[in-house]
Amino acid sequence: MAITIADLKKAMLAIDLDEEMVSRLDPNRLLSEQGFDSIDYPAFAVAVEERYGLKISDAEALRLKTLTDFERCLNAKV
Amino acid sequence: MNKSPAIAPNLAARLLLPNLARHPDKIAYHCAEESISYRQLGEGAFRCAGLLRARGIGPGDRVMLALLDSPVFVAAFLGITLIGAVAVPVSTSLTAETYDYLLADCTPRLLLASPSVAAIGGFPRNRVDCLICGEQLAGVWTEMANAPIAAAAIGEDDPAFMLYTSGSTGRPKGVPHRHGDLLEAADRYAAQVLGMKKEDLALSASKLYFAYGLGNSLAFPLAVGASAVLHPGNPLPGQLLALMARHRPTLFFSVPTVYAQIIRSVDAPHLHLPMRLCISGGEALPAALVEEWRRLTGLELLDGIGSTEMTHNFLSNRPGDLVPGSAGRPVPGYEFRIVDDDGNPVSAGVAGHLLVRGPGAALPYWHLPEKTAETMLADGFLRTGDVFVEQDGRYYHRGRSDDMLKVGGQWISPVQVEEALRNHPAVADCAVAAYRVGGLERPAAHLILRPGNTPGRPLERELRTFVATRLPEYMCPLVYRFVDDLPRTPTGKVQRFRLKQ
Repeated sequence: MAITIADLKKAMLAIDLDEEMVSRLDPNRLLSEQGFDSIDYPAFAVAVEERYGLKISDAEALRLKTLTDFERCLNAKV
Repeated sequence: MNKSPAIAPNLAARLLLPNLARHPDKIAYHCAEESISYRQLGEGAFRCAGLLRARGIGPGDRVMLALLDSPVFVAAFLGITLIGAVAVPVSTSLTAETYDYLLADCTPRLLLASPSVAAIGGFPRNRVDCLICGEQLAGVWTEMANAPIAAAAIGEDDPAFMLYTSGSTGRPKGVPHRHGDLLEAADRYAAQVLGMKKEDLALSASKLYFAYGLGNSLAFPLAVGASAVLHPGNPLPGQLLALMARHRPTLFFSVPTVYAQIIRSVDAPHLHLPMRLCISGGEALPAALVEEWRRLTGLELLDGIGSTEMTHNFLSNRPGDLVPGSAGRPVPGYEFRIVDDDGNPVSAGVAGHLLVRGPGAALPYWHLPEKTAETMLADGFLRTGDVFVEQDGRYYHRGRSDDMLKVGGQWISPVQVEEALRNHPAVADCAVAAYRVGGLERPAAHLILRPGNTPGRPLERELRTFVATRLPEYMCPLVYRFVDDLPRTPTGKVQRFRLKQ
């Protein structure tokens, strides 16, 4: 089953990222430009790894800059 | 106090006077909208020195600095060391309790503080004379004359400054350093390894109150007659990139966590940066980060390792001689041993505890003879607490000998975080260990709950909020795991290393 942007936003809410920020996220814009701070990023990466039982490599972690990047990367692994 | 015979250079004199003689009108520092020449920096330092003298502060007396990065910090540091007093720079984002501890520990005659620090709720103003200083040099100590003040004579073992570093119990340890220590680092690392020259312009995202930043932004530029950019605010990627575009630094110093944030803040396939060198320190630099930085910027990211105890880097990669994932080769003048638990040298290619000996090693820890005896050995070697492997003259970091974490370049003591967690009524026991995400370490809490408490997100939320009121943000666990038991030795001691992920 494909992982959608909506799924990823749910994962963000599940770890208590700011509801307003999450709802307004443009999947194609940099997360760092939309209020995602230095704690949010690793928290989200961990949450996603655990939710889907997947591992994000060190190299991938540096290239997953938008929600669409995450969506593409995770679906390629599933 | 006992003074050793005067045979050492005065740090402030050595950093200031050659520049005043050679190029007094050259800009030493850019900060916000100000550009400060060496002449103006010198005048600020002399005003500060005069102010201290007027208050009866003299050689050996501590003067604490809780100042944001700005020319005021630099001038204050120089003024203090000029008269032979001991500068004690501390972080500007500590809790009131920690400031109280530090003030009681080093008993400074005076505290120079930024307004934001003095405004912290519960700040112990009554413990010490306090002078609030802003970031503009022209606006501070204006009642004092700009006239030069003679440098105090300095003995070889007289301390110039003291930095605090975190210990395994979480209690900060005072690390005093001689006048010569920063000069050694400037010569051996900045000049010989980085090739730093007067034409360089340094930008350090790491602040002046860290040994790393103190070298990068203060000792190194002044020692070679170069210039630096200072940024009082937080090292946010957008602001750092704006400073790079505006001032065009030739050297950029930061920590892996910040490099990763910069990378993620850029969506262009290539980033054109003005630097000739990018340096990383403070925590282990993942190979993937070196490779991605090169892909994005075309620049080498030079990892090195040092410690507050050794003043600055003792191992480093070099321009044109870089292996991603390694901490590089010895900085000239440093010797190493890699030993097993019994202190015997290990065979080649085997991991062991890294010991280092060389110039710039600290004086004994402040009022901590046992800690000193544990760490600073009789033959002059220092236990770094790091585990390393050496291969073909290059050194590779393999973790810590103790359970300490380094996150975003800052020490985290598991004991300190665990103590905070244990104060919560739902927690029976816990252990804090490293969790690696994106190649960088974050703290993870493993908790055994008291009967009647249900693991799950609501309790996790409660614990997060609870911990956030007791610890600085970077110490708060990223991950919470509820467990039935913790790995222990036969004697019941928790084995945190087995919880690492």
